[in-house]
Amino acid sequence: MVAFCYVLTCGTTQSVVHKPQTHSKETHTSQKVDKIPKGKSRKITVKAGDTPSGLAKKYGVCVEDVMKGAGITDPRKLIAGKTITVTNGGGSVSKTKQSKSTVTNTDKSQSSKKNGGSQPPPPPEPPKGPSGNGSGSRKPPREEEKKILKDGLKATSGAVLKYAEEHYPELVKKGEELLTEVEEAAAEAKDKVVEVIPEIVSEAKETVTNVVSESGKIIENISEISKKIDIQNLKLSDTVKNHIDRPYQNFVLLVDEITKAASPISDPQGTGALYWKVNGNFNGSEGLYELLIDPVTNSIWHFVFKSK
Amino acid sequence: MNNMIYNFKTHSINNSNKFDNVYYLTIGFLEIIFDFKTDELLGLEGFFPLVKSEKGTINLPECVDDKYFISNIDKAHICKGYVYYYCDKVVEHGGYFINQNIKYDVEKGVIALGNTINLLTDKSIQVDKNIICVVDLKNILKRIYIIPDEFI
Repeated sequence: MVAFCYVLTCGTTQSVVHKPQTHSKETHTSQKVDKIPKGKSRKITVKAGDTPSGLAKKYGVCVEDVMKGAGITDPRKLIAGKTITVTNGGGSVSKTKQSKSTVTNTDKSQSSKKNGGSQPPPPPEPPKGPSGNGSGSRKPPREEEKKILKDGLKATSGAVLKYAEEHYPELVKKGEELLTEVEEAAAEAKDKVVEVIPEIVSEAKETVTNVVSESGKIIENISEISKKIDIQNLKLSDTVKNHIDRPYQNFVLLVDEITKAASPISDPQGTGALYWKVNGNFNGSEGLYELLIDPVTNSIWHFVFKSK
Repeated sequence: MNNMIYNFKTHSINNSNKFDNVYYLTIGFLEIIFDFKTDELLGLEGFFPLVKSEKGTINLPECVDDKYFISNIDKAHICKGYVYYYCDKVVEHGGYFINQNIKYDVEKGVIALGNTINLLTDKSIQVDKNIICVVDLKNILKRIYIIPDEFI
């Protein structure tokens, strides 16, 4: 941004004279050319608000001469109060860094002339950035820097808008109309969203309530079904019966304990049986009891203690 | 001779033979029976519903008649007659049975459990007339084909 401001400011042939934001008015608005003759030098005391380009303009030298005299390479580092010796090196302004914008502008104005002068004049020069605030070498605090930048941008956009209003009123009008349309559409969309949200929330609440209610019913059903199991008269599937090496399967009390220790779930494998999974121990070994009872046939289909 | 029967009423696989001196590793509710001393796979049994199995054609791979001995097992805390989760005790199981994909070929009467096999690298072992084990290059059990003698 600083470089951008610098290049624009250095465009010495531009017709619009930019007024800086802060105290550089004296330096730039009332410039009188006090030309240093070619090959001659002059001692100049830098004032607050002076810039290399301003001084170059004032003394009819190129910016490089001023910067060379001040012993700086960065135009922002010009120190107020310092006396510098500027020598008119006779360098052409067109050869300097800022001449690029000058040449471009000249080209533009020439091409504008070629086109019968129908092209609008160039936009106004944006305000200076932090380099033109006249604070010399003192680096402004970060917040101050931000503010200057912000103000600069605001002023730039303001100037651009003013320029556009002057030269492209129809486009600006159309843009404003479009903006209004967009704002209206956004407002409408916002209204719709605001309108729809309570409905969605209400529906979601209803769904959750239904799911909870259904789950409750299922749990109630499972609980009811499990109550119908006659633990004292349970039958065993062949697989379960074959396991004489698992004596805990004969313990009706253990089955009773397991079924009371936790609520069963419906067998996830889709058999319709009820499934209990309960932490426990067997012969001093910790593990999990898995019990599957088919309530229809009142049979144990699966009863295993899995050791950890 | 052992007879393996699948019972649809109880959703279970039963064996006519009894196995002694064994331990069990379970995949889901299916119990795989191993010899306690040698770790040889002896049989399968247990609750094994086919209600949600994928029905389709199963082509059995070419097999070699052999025994299957489980390796990579942590036997430090395995006791005779006890049941353990397969994935808990097999140190490297390759994750082949985590999803417990069951496929059932109704016409052929074949059930497949586990991962799909690689015919080029995997080895298929016909353990007995009822069981085919497919193992990978590291001898990790990858798929089991169960061919019951009878479905009742």
